[in-house]
Amino acid sequence: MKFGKEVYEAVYITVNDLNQPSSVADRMMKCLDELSGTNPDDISDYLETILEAIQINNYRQEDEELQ
Amino acid sequence: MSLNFTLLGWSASGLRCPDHEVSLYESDISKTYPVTLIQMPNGTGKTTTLNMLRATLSGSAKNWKPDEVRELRRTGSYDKSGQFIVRLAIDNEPLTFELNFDFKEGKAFYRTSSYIGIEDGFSPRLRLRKFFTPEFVKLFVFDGELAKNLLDAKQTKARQAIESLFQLFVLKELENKFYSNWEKHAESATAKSDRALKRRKNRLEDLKKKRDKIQEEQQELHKQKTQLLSDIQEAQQEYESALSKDQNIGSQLQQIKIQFDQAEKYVIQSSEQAIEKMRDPHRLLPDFGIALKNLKDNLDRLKLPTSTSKEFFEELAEAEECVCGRKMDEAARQAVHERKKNYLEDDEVGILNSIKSDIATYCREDPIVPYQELKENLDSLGQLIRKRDELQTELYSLEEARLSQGDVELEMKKKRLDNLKEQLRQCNERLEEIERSPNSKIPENAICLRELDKLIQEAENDVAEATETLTLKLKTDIAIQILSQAHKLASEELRKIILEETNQKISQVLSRNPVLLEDIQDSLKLQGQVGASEGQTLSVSYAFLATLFNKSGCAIPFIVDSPALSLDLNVRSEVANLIPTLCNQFVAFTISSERQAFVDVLHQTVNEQVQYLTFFRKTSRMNALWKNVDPHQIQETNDGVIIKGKDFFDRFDLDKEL
Repeated sequence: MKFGKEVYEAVYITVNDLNQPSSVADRMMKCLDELSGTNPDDISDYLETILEAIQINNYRQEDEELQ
Repeated sequence: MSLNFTLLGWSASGLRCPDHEVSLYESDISKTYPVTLIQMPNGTGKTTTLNMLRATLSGSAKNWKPDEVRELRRTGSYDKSGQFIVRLAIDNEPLTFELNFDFKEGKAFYRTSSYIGIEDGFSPRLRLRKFFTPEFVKLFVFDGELAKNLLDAKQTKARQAIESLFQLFVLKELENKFYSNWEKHAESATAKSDRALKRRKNRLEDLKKKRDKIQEEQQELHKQKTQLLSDIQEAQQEYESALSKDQNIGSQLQQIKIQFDQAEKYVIQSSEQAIEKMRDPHRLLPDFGIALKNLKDNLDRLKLPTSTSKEFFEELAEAEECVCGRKMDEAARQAVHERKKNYLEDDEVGILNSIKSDIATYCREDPIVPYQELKENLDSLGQLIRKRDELQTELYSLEEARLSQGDVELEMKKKRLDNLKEQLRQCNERLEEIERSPNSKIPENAICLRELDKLIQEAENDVAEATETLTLKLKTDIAIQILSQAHKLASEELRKIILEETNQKISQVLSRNPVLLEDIQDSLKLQGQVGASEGQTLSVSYAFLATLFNKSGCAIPFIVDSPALSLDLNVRSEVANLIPTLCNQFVAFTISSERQAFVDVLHQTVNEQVQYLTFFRKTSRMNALWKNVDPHQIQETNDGVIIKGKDFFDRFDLDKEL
């Protein structure tokens, strides 16, 4: 079961607001789709791909904290 | 996201409600009645039927206790089992859930049938599972209690409904998965904070600085050593020259020096020879030489190795007796033939030949000779060392004698030479410590370069581990923040949309006395009112759920208990008008008092496409009610009767009849 557009939009907007690449949102939605269909015990591969896509240097909040 | 969810019917047997089967379609499953009204007088088992519908659709009965299961057995019955079956069509594909009860064991079992076959257990397809949960089923198998709960500020039913239907809870689940992933990593990580990382980086930096400093010192020491060796050579010459100023002592010194140098040379040569000989073990111990020689003799006697070994086994196989003295029979011969390859493979033959050759080369006929040769060599070395030491003593004596003459210049030259030699010793000592092999246990204050390299490698690994851990923590925080913010954003957007659309629907239902929604948070909040009449509550709840279902793109039936019971008469007709717009399929359990101002309006609104069923227990008192009914309209079981048709439905009034 896919998510409604409100959830998709919310994820993509938030990812953009936090200055993360859209691949983070793509991978997150894939993972959410997987989780919504079932509740698999192990989604570590999905988590890993999301974490790989997340950029620390682009993270605005971190920059703000450092300042 | 679209899903067409149709309830086709259900059947019950062996339970507290009368046995019955309800079909919600006409000729085939594509022609489902948009509205089915089931009139059940009190005591017919309406509550049991609704509970069974919820349990069968949600899989919740698998956790029931034995007493809960046995309570469902028909009163006064000794039936061992009972059953409730619900038939559905999901996008026109059939799906059936069976809930079976074993009253003796007090257990409930499910079976699931779909186009892929029959499975034991409650097993809706993955994409459908979110609809068949206890929480979600309560949203469409609807009673007055849910309507009240949706407006109860102390409850969170409204938020739960949105979370459930739009799967916002999955975002929270993923947040938890990220957190668990981090916790799992953190369990094995030794550094979890920025401070720990800084501490490790500082240690690495300090170690690297120290290594650079030691390397500079090493280079400096080598330069210093070269200079010292040169200075010592020069100082030695000057000292010897000064010593020789006393011609007598000088010429003696000259001679003894030559003899000393010669003696030193012989000591070195003899030492090298002795060490070389000591590498042969048979020289160190005569018994070892004897044992090696015996080994070679035995190998020769056994004609081992090479081709003779093969012949040995072949001869053995043909012999009358084995080497151990036992008689050779056919089985033993066969075994020797088969196993001879297990011995003396090519590489083993090569090793044995090599051993034999070495024994022949190094161990002479008399094993005592090599031992004696080494002994003589060591004795000779001892004598040479003694001679060298004697010459050295003589040199020291002459030097002392010369120095005792009170030659200041000589003393200064001697002091300078000794000083330079001491500097060289210290220089060599420091270099030796810097350049030595590393120990297994390395102290933190090591100056050995190879030990420092190891410490730096360890420190680099520590920093890498801490950096990786902190990176994972930071990334996990970002992922959780994205999910949390997205959850808030989606909830807020849905709240606004659903609020607006629900209010539009409420305006239609309660056109005379609209009670609009002010907000949707945990519960539904009415505009300007803290409470509402039961009719308003039910209408608002209908409108809210209908909006949710429509918004989610899912066509879900409404199964409602007593839809009009609590409604004012004027509101009943409005609700009846609204129902077709709420859902594609409406199934209601009613009693006779709900008909007024509701059934006829509903009948007209859906263009008469209403299935009317009247369901009651089959008792002697009830027989008079249905004795004149057309048999085609009657569906009879051993303890229940269902009469189809609007005429009977409209006429039926148990209180009056009885």
